[in-house]
Parts: sequence; structure tokens; C-alpha cells
Amino acid sequence: MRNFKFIILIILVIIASLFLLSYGEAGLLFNQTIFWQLRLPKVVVALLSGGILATAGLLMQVFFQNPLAGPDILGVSAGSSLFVALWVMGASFFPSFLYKIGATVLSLFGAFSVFGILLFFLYKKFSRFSLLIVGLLISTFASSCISFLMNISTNLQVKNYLIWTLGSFRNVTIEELPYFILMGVISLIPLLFLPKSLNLFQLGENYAKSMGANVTNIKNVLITVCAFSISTVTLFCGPVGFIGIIAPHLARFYLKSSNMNYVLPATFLFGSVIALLAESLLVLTPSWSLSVNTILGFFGAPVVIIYLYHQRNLHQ
Amino acid sequence: MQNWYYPFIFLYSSLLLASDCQSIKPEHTYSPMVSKSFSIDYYKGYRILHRGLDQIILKSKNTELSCESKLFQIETPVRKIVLTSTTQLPALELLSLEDSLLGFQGKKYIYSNHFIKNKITNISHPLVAEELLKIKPDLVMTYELNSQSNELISKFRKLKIPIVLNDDFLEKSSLARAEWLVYIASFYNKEELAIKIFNDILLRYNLIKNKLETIKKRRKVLIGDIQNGKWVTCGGESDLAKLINDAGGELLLSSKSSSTQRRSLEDLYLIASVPDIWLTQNNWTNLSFIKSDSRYKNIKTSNIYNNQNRISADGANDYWEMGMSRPDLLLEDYATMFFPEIFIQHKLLWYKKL
Repeated sequence: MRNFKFIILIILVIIASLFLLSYGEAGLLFNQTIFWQLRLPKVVVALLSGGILATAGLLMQVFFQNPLAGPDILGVSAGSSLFVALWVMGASFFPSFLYKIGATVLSLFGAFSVFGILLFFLYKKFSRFSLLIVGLLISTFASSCISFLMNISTNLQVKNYLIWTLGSFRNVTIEELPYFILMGVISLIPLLFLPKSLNLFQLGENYAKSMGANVTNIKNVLITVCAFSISTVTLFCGPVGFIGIIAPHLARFYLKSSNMNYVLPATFLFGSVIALLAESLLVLTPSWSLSVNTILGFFGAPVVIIYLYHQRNLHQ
Repeated sequence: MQNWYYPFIFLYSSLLLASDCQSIKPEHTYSPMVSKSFSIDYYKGYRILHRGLDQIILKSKNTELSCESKLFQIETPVRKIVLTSTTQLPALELLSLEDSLLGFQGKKYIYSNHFIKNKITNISHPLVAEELLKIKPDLVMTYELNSQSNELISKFRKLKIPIVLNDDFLEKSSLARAEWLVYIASFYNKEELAIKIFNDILLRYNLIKNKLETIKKRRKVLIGDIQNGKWVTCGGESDLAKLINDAGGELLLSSKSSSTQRRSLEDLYLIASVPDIWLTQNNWTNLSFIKSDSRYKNIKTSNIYNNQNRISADGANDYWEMGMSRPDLLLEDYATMFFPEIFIQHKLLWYKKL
């Protein structure tokens, strides 16, 4: 039965991918340039980004033992956004060399700066709840800095930044695609070795310790994987919300299980399906000028509420 | 002694008889030729300026009105003004009133040397009442961003800060926007001069437009660039689209909207070999960015221009200053890019070839 459920998910991913590869705003047209330069990168990026964000969300939820934890919660996306905002809006206030470095490097730098701060606190034996608060405070700090930058910037700069925050799976060119795939795969490799530790960890730190697990190592790996994978997606696609929160819940609900050996791959597949479906909706509604984040927010919020409604008896 | 109440009866009767300033029939009314967003009613000793639902009485200093009114009153001519948009600055330049600029919101965005050389106070964004009360301008002109702007205006007026809104940016054509010159001039009692200047602009604009109406082969014009995986271009009914049309161009990826459009790159690729001219809407200074992104390579034209020709050391762009007030010269820029063989004499002002 479980295998059958996985096959359905894989078929959904394949159908959505084939749809996006064959149909676009130009219709059912097969044009070599359009296929290689637009559709293929878009599908690969949506598939991989959705999966990465979803698994990062699952890891966050397990780590913080909080069902609402997601990629945004650690402040990594906020750190990335802050440095992109500095690049877009602060160019006239900073030395010209900073402008030339570009958003790519700065986004990565922002994400890893936050990641470094989190590792420092982890090293100083901060509890995961304190770490959660640190993450939220970093997000608030970054938001304040961005608001300040928006106040002192020109309309064009503010507009450029706001467009970036809408998120998109279409930003990656065919030349950049190998780098994206490489970084995405690197961020996914540790997941192959995580399920057993996660199964122990989600039952509580003390239980994991009593079973002989190295809790500190698990925490370090979780934080590193999350920060790297989130920064990779934010770097190429901008801040994409909701997938990290929705997909883990859908996976657990779908499999009726909490076993990470199954939930982890199912979460990845759900993330990919959600991203591909969001992209399909964009393709089908070209005149509405929607963005990925608009669609995810529009459908994501009701899905979470319905899920919580169905789960109400479990929490009582 | 019995008639002690007579003066009160007289005063009360006078108040009743004194008519409302708005209800009197104006001697004449100025209605702009292109813009539909403002008008001026002329009365004996005062004027009423209409902008949307807002009405302001303009009267000379030390003049007492013979009528009653609850409308906000501004004494003219103003001598010290605070402006908030670069599109408002050229009016002062065209009317030779540069020295009246007391403050500006974002000094570094001013391009014209006529203003930069003067001592101008940099005004905060958003406007701060205390700051304005300190420098005591005769007039503050701002623009409406949202519904809260009207609340801000009434709050400032209660504090006796003479503030008015300028909606030039809401106009659907560059000519209508340029006509707001008359609106600004009314605060200086210089409407006649402003109308004359605008009529010259309109005449010149129509001369260029008429010259190009007989052109058989219109130039196919692509506007915009890639932002967040989409092709961002102007609406088919925007002021820019109208200018392109009047300059003998045919806007590609056109739409029935005046707002910015986000089109799919697939739509762009289908017409990528068609454009004669590509006008990028960004601050590129050369072709390096286009070369670095393979998605641009499909656009088969070497006629690539943008509006970065007149930039100050601080990055201020004159396109968003004088360019917005001189649609005739702007039209000539477009016409020159589209038909250089006809406009041999004209040197591009705001646009440059990349």
C-alpha cells in the first residue's frame, strides 16, 4: 500500500513535469529554444526547489518539535533577503566593488552569516527553543534593516527588491542550471543518512540519548543541512514560502505515519508536486501576473487550516 | 439704550447675507486642454483651484474675502515652496522660479544644476510636520500615494501648514502630465505664462506627430527587460505606449492596460526576431548585462537604447525630471531613434544607444 502511494506521488511529479515541459504561455508549441532555455530549467528548478524546501521544513519541524516551523523560522531566508536588499537598494551608499559582487554572492553570504551565528549559539549550548527565538530575532532585525533601506531608496530600487521577494522558479538560466543542480544535490546527500537519527530525535532528546544517539551531532547536521539548502533555494529563486510548512503535514497525513524512512522522501515529493502545480497555475493564468508566493499563500493557508481541523482529535 | 441689540441684528443679518464663495458664479473658468484632473475658477479678488474633490481658495496676501468659505486658503504668490517629486521641479525652471525652492524630498535625486547650486533643505520622507513648521514654507506640494494621504493633508492643514496634492503622475498621457505646469503656476499667479509655455509644447508635439503620421512602415518597438523570470513591459495604454505610437512606433507585446505588464518569456521568444528597436527600462550603461544572460541573446536587434543619457554624479536622472515636463522633446527623442534618417538634426537628450 505504501509503495502504491509513493508510485502515485511519483506519477504526479512526472505528469506535472511533462505538462510544464510541453505546455507554456506560448501554448502547446515545441520550439527548441523555448524548451531548452525556458521550460527545462523551470521544471528542474521547481522540482528540486520544492523538494528541498519541503525537506528543510520537515527537518525544522523535527528539530524544534513545532508543527509550524519552516525554512523562514531560523532567519536564514531573512539573512539572505537582507543582503540582497543591500545589493538592490543600498548600491548608491556603498563602495562600487560591493555592487559588482552581485546578489548571488551576497545572498549566500547573508544566509551563511546567519548560519554562523546559529552555529555559534549551538556551540554555546543554547536550547533549541532559545535558538528559535534567536532565529525570529534575526528575522525581525533583518526586516527592520530592509524597511530602513526601503525608506531611503528610490522607487525603482524598492520595486526591484519587491519583485525579487515574490519568488520565482524562472530565474535560473540554462547556464546556471548545473550549478543549481550541484548545490541542490549536495544539500540533499546528508538526508540519505538522517532518517534513523530523526526517528530517534522526534521522540525526544533524552530518548535519543538513551538509545545511544549523538544528539549534538544530529543537531549540527540538521542546522547545517537546513541553512545550506534554504540558502541555495533563496539564492536562485528568492524567498519561497509555505512549501516548507505544508509539504511535511501533507506527507504525514497521506502516509498516516511518522516514520522518517517514508515521511522524508514523501515530503520531498510533495514539495516537488506543490511547486510544479503552482508553476502550472502560473502557466495557465498568464494574464493575471501572479507570482509563486501569491499562489502558495492563496492555497497553502487553507490547506494547513483543513489539515489542523482534521488533526483536532489527535491533539485533544 | 433700547436698541442695544441692533448691532447684533446687523451682524447676524450680514453673516446670513454674506454668500458662500463656492456658490458665486465665477467670472471665468480655466479648464486644461488635455488634463481632466484640475481646473481653476476665477472670481473677483480670489480663485478656486479644483483638484478632484479638493478645492482651495487662492487669494492675494492681506486680501479679505467678501464671501464666506470653509475651504482651505493659500496666499499667493508663494515665495518659498517645498516640493516632493522631481516631476514637479521643471515647472519652476520653465517659469524661472528656481530660487523659490526652499526644500525638497530627496535632494540627491535632483538633476538640474539650477536647483543644485541653491541652498535647499532636504525634507524627510514621509513628511514631518515639525520639520515643515520650522522652515515655514508658503506652500508644500506632495503627491497622493494612498487613501491615507488625504488624512495627512487635513492633519497638516489643521497645523496651518499650507499643503496641496499634485496628481500629475496619475495622468494617462505625457501631455496631460505636462499641463500640470499650469496648476503649479497658479500658486505663483503665473497661469498666463504657463498656458503659453504649454501651448508651445503642445504645438511642437503635434507638429512632430503629424510629420510621422504619413510614415508607412512603423518601427516595431520592444520595451522592457527580464525581472524575476518574466518580461516586464509597459501597458499598451500607458503614456509611454502613446508616445511610441505618436513617434511612429508599434509597441510589441502590447496590452489593453495602462499599468506595467509582466509577460511570459515564451511570449517574448515568439516575437524575439521581430523588434527593430529595443528600449530597456533599467540603468544599464553598456551591453555587458545582456551578454551575461543567455535569455537576452534571442532578441535580434542591435538597436538597443535606454534613458540613462543625462545622469548626475549622484545618480539623478533628468528623464524623470525635465523629460516628464517636455513631452515634445521626449517625442523627438523617440522619433529620432525610430527614424534617424528624418530627424538628422536632433541629438538625443535622454536616450542613448547601448
